[in-house]
Amino acid sequence: MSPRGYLGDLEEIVLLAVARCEPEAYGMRIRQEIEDRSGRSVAIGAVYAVLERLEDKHYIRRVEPPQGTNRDPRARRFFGITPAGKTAVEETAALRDRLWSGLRLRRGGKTS
Amino acid sequence: MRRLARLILRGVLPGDVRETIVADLDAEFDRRRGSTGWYVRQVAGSIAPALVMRTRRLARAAADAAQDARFGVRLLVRQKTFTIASVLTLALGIGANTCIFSLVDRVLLRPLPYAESSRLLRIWSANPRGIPRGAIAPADFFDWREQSRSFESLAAYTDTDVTLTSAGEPVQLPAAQATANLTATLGVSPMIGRWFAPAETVGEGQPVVVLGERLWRSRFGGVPMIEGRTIVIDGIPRGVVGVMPDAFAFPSRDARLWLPLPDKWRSQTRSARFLAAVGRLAPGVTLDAAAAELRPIARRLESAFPDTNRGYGVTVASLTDAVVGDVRRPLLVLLAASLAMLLIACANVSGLMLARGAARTRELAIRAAVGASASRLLRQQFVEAMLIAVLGGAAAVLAAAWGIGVLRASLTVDVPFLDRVSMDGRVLAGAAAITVICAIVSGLFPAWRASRQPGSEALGGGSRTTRGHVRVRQAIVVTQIAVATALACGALLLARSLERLTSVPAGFAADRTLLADVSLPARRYKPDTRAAFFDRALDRLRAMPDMQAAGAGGPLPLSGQEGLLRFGVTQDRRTDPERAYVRWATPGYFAAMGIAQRAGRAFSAADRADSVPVAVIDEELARRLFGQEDPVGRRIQLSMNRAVWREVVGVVGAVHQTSLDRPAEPHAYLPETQLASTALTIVARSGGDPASVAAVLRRAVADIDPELALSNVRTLADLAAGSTRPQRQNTLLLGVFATAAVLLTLIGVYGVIAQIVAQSARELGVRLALGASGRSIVALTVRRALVMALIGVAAGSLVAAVAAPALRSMLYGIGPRDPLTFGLVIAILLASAAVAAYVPARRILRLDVLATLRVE
Repeated sequence: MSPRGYLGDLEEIVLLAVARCEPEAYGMRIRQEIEDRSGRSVAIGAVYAVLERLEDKHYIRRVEPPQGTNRDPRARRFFGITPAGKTAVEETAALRDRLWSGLRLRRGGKTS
Repeated sequence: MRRLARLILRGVLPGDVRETIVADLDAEFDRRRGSTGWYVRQVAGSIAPALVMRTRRLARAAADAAQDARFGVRLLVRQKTFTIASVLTLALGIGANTCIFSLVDRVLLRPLPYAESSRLLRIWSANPRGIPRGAIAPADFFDWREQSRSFESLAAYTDTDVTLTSAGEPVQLPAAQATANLTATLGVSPMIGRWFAPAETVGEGQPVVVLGERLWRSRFGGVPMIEGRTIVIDGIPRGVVGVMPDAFAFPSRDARLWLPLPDKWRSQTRSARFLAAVGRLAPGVTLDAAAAELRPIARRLESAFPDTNRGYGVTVASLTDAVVGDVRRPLLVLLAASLAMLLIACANVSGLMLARGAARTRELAIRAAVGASASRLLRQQFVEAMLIAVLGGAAAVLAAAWGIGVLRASLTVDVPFLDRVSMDGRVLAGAAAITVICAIVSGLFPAWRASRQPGSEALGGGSRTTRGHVRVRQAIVVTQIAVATALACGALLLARSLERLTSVPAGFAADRTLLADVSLPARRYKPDTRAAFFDRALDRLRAMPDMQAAGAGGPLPLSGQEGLLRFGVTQDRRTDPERAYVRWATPGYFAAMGIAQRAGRAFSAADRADSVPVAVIDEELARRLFGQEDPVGRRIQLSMNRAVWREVVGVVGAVHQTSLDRPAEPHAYLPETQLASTALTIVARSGGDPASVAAVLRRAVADIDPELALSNVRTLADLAAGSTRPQRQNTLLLGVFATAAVLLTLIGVYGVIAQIVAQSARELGVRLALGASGRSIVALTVRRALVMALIGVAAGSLVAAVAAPALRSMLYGIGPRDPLTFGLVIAILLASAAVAAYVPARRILRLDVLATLRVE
């Protein structure tokens, strides 16, 4: 995607969580994944707000629920990462790598 | 706690994700059998993101709307003809409605300009001869006031005319005499000084006066030190105690000054009824309760004073009703008419948008194909309609500002508070509301129509989809014709009613006759000097070369001045009286008025104070009193002075006293020499210029008595026209609306036929190629228009037949379902619809057959 497509903090985390959870990536599952991996508790509303933003940026898209899940349209919305989304995560990671390269900081410094 | 948290979450989340998130959260809560604390933390943490989601949605909608608006503006600029036609049509409709709304708002919707005006009542004496709203005798008024408990205060007043001599030229002014509690009753304060004190009305009343703001400014330069100044009114010096603001306008806008109403009037006979009364209800008392309390009081007075009060009751109505009751119906009719016209205007714009929608079918289909949602397309169309309506509304406000000025200048007298009608915030808000309604009415239908375009078909370029457009437009035109028919029926009913009304013979000849009121102060003029004054003044007029007749008399027919009310008149061979208006006349009066002499003679110089008492009666009184007998030479007696028997010396033609739509009333005329009158009108019929007659009369009066003032100089034709003014105004306004409605409808008919011709060019071309004659196809097309018109006028006539009885009280001499009127309207609409259809249909004859076929 375009260079302005660098991801925000939480955006990157949610996008990676979507990629990890696929094809079971829905709101609460994603929230749980983040909590499990980062030990950070995230509110469900925040997850949805970020999902919405990512969808608007075409980094994720709505996908059919996996076979055998509840088809109630009101219930879970499943997401999948798009090629643009993959590029965006990769570019963000690459940016971070470029910024890190040659840098020697004490471990435990302010990174995420 | 969890339920409360869930409620909060539901409240903050935007609607489209609300159920998903709540269900997700609940499912997780159940799965892990989590704690309520976890749930609450989840909700608390979700509030801020939920608000962020809402903000994003708002921003997105605003961006969409802005895009729609930009697109709409581009489109409107590109299609100038469409834009101008639509904007002008709506400007006409919205402008007319804004004007009428400004009237309705000021006159009907706002309270009277008095404190807590809903507690104010008007009270009348109910006359046993079926006049429920009659004047009150002073003694009756004071008895009502003392014996009733329903009123916080009860005030009385009466109109009068006075001559002011101490400030510049002598001038005769409309004034009122009122009780000391009038301003407190109405809740109005003087702008300078004070109103009368109760002590100033005791007995004869003190020589004090309260000025109106206008008189204070015009005659006294608006100086603030006016209190305590002495001015001369009717020859009596009076001290000014205060100035009332212009807004007071009570009893009418005409009143220029106020004098105390003397208590001693209470001792007058109860048969002299000339007061009006206004009361402020005590807190918590209803109108009905007040009426119920007054009725037994009136009954007690009936039994105590049977000679004067038998049959006299009391009528109570809200002051609002008394002030605006007469204009409510006409105003509502005008409002309905202007709304009907607005509907037609909206329908025209709707039709234009549909026609454009048909032309844009392809564009819309493409937009739908590339993913614009139906609701998005609908909104786009609606934004365009809104743009047109806003432009129309803006133009309408400008037009209405002008229109309100015209209304104020042309309606002046008959509509209360007309001088305060203006383009203010409320009227602007009304115009804005009308504009939004217009946008909805004219835009929503085409928008809906356009948003459900079947995409693939439209892209295929077929003409089938446009068929639907034509059908919808036809339905709209039928509706327009129906509304226009109903409106035109109403307008024509009023016009024909007015024609009948003005062709009623008034009983006098209104042409080339000048009128001027003159009032001789009773202090300086005794009966003999009064006669001498009129002799000298009239002789000066009669000496003019073109003068045909000059006299004095009054109160004049149709002048609105009823003067003394009616008296009983009996003749020498019967005892039961007939009620008749008693009028004064000098020699020359009947000739000057053009009132026909039917028998006997008119008054002459020989009828003096000391000669045989005489009277002239009109044919109406002659018929009622004498039947077939010849009244000339017989004697009559008037209840106002029973001691005198008068010889009937002549019979004159009947006149209409109150209005042309009521039958001519019986009149008895007395010579001014034998019974003095306070004020008479000089009547001069001349072949020459009325202005020069007025100049001669002014000079003559100034020569005879420099302290006298002429007032109300006008022509008899003005006076006669004034009596039908409300009817003419209503007819004119309704006529304007109906004409505009019919024209707009014809434009609609033209438009739909033009569209039919344009869109079926291929089909028509094929027919022409196959040898059909052009004329027959034109005839066929016009017939389509006539079918629409027939359905329309049929529906419209039905509507008119149902609605027209609402006009009944505004009609004279014609039924609300007059068949001739309806027939005329139907014929006019059918004929004009045929013409409006023929013009575009003729294009068929110019159709290039080969070219249309080649397009395919």
